Amino acid sequence: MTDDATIDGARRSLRRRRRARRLLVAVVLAAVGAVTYFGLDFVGFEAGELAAGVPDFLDFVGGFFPPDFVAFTRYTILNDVHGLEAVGVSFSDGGGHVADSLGWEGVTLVRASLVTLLLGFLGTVLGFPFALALGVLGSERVTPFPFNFLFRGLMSAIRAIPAIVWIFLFVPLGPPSQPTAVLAIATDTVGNLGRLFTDELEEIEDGPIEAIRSTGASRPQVVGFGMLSQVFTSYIAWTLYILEVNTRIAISLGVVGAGGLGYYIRNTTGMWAYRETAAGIVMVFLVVLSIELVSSRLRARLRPDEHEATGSLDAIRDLFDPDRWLGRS
Amino acid sequence: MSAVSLDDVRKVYGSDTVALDGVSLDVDPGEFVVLLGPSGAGKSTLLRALNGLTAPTSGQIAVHGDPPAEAGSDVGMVFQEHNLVPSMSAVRNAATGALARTSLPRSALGAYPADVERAALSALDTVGLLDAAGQRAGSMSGGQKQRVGVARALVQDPDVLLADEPVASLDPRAAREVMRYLHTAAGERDLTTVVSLHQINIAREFGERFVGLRDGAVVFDGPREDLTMDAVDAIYYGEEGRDDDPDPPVATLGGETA
Repeated sequence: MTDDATIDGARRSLRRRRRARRLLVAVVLAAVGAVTYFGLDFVGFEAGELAAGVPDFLDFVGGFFPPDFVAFTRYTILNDVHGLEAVGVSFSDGGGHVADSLGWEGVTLVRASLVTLLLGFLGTVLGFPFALALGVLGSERVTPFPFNFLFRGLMSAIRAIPAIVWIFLFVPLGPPSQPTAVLAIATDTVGNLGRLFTDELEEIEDGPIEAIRSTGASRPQVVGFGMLSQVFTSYIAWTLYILEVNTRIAISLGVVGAGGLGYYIRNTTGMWAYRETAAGIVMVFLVVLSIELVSSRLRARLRPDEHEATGSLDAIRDLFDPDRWLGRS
Repeated sequence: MSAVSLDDVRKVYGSDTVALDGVSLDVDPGEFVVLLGPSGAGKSTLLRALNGLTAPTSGQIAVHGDPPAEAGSDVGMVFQEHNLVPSMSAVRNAATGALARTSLPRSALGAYPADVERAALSALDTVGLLDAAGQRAGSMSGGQKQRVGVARALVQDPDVLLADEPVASLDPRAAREVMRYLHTAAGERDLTTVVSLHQINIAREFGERFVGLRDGAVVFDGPREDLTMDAVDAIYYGEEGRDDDPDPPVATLGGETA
């Protein structure tokens, strides 16, 4: 039998380790606290000064209400229909005004929303094949170390530069505009989505790869069937997630001139038409939220562990099932 | 000519882990061989070497006279953890057995030739899963998954079928069922089969010839009649037998050795 002395020895060593861990936590917390305290001072963050501006801020925010949707469609602009009424009027003829505005070059909220959605979508679609190629080649399972770092490094370099900087790097191709915004978002997608693809590939099971290899399959077939087949649904899920991110990026690129809702917001604030700005912000909410809702619903259904035996078809069908939206089933 | 032959095969992992220590073995065409031996005896290494998944450190391995790497798709393999792609249906998993004879574009599009599709369905029929052909592999039971694993190896249309502890993670009933399908398929298609097993009763039920591995060396090779309890003990406990086990698991409970 083990004697008490041995047990006590084990207890002492456990307690020592626990003490060391607590000390470490305390040191880390103290360090975070110190950097925050001195950092706020360094960047000139004065809570008192900012608080003094709160009344002005509230006054400013008050100027946003009520939101004015006058620029909702061409019809409401030309007929000077203001406020929320503009939305109702725009839909009153069964969609004719909306369709008319989509085909009109002028800045309307419906067209700006469409442009923003398209910028995010096109950037994602154009970036996807390059993200897939670099992402797969960046995995150590496909490209032997250290050559895979060539591709990983390229993706890191692309990722290090945000889309809003890329659009200025593309100035020789054209000023910040809708086409260069698509390019900038696509470039950003290559870096971000590619990295997610690589990480996903590193975590797959060896078994199916070995099984496919043992059938005498060629190297590309082993990659396709042993590896990519394992990550297929998660690749779709990540791409949908990046679509969400890209929609938001499209708005910020709009502010620097790429069109869409961002452009509308910059224009209206430039003219101190804050009530119209507010309408643009409401549209941003609607666009981003709807993309997020659709994408997160699809992604939730695609996760194989959470929803046993749910294919992509079921996921799309669920999208149109109101019971699921309301959580009734 | 033997279907499978090993001549003084050694496999050393790293600098000093000897997995196979001079194994020589000949298997005739159509033979059903069961590999027995404790964990770490070298059974998996032997099967992986026969399949060309690992290369021996020294010695010769031949499958129908060729090195295993060249035999490629002539050797089918069933894995312990079935190794299916969970997101694909049973029939698509089975069809991957035909990748070696399907062009890349066709296989990438999942547009297998009609004969491969027919072979995949017929293999699923052989293992009693024709009705579940469209079911996702991930949603199947352990026994069903392993039967799909057998079907995939059959679609390969191999001459030699290898199985590495194919029923180790199944309950006794599912294990016997999988072994029955595997045994029947091997018989019908006249396959040379090498299976490693841990369950002695299942091994005795299906095996014709038994090869015992211990510490990387062949310590038993004979038909079912010769596989007595003593012979089994010799494979798992060595020459000294079960009674002289210097470290029997039960006796260590009190912290003292027997």
